[in-house]
Amino acid sequence: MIDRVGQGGGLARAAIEAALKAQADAALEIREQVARALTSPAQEGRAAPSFPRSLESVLGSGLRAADAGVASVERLPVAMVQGEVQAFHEIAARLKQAELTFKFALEVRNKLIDAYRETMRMSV
Amino acid sequence: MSGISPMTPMSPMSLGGPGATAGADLLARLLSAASLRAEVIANNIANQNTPGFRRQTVRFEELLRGALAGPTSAAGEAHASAARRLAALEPRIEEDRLTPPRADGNNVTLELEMNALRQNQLLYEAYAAVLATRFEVLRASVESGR
Amino acid sequence: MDGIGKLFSGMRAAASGLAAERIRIDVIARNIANAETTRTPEGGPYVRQVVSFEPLLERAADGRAQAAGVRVASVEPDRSTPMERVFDPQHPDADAHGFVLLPNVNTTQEMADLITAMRAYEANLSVQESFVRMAERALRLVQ
Repeated sequence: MIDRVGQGGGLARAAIEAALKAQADAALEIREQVARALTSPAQEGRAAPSFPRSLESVLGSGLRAADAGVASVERLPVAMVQGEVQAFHEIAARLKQAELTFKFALEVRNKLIDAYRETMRMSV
Repeated sequence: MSGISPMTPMSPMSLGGPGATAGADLLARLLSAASLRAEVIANNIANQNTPGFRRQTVRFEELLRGALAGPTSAAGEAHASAARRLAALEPRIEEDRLTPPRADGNNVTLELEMNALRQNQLLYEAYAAVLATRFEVLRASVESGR
Repeated sequence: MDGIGKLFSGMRAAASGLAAERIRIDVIARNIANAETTRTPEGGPYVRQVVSFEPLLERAADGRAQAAGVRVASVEPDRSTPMERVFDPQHPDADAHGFVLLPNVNTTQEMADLITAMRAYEANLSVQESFVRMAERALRLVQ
């Protein structure tokens, strides 16, 4: 994708990468906030998980998270039938978790697409 | 007399803990305890006329209060063991040996049991409200870019 | 109970209470209706019927017995309460000595038992409604 932007446009390439990195950083910040909020206070002493900073790995992990979210929703009826779900609030929590994970991945994707479009508007 | 055995508390993953650790999320455990208590009360009410039946209760909130009153300053090992004890805390089903039984050996008082039912239901709804707010905060932070 | 039934164990306990109390109400109604019956199809006066309850146990996945409400252990004739013997030679069912054997049914006691059973029935109904409300509250979290 980045290679098609312009031949020998080293400056443009740097600008694109910088813009994408800024958007990716913002997305990662949101993700870390989500991760912090979702863990209980007793776990504060733990070191924050280190996320990969490259574009592909952010996109990749976001897609994997979205995939995992959708998969866990699909697996829920089987889990229920097999007696793995003990209570209704557990169902709600699992569904909400999957929904938020998916929405977050969607946001990351949208932000990155916005960043790409933004940089496409720059004259090369 | 065999009663109800406690349910397994929900794992952190089911309430959204990307880094699952030992000891489930506190809110999850409170909700699970309230669920268990509802089942125990239901059993009491179903057996209100069973000869020889002794009512049961579920304790969790008081146990939590005791565990949370542990060493507050991060005094190294004491703090760590208090945290471990807190994480390992389970709801406890207990038989009521204080309330005297009637002639048929049953010690369930319907009015008290119905009160316990309503009270526990409100408790459950309060915890659910906290959880709902937590989800709302997360949702808003995820969608804040709009 | 395993599988999806775990979600409903509280409601099942309440349902068992409804079923047991309903049987008791029916038996009490039959006692009251037959309080004066001096001749049954089997011969002899009506004998008071007594319902006996016991805790209902289910086997969990780990093999342990779990409390799951209540069950009717038996519906039996009450042999401990003596029949009423009344002197009434005119009665069609009087014996050679002019005595009639009346059912050992104390209507006042039956009414008291009936009220107890009905209150218990209503209470179990409330329990079911409570579980439904809690489930609905929990599922509303997903919206």
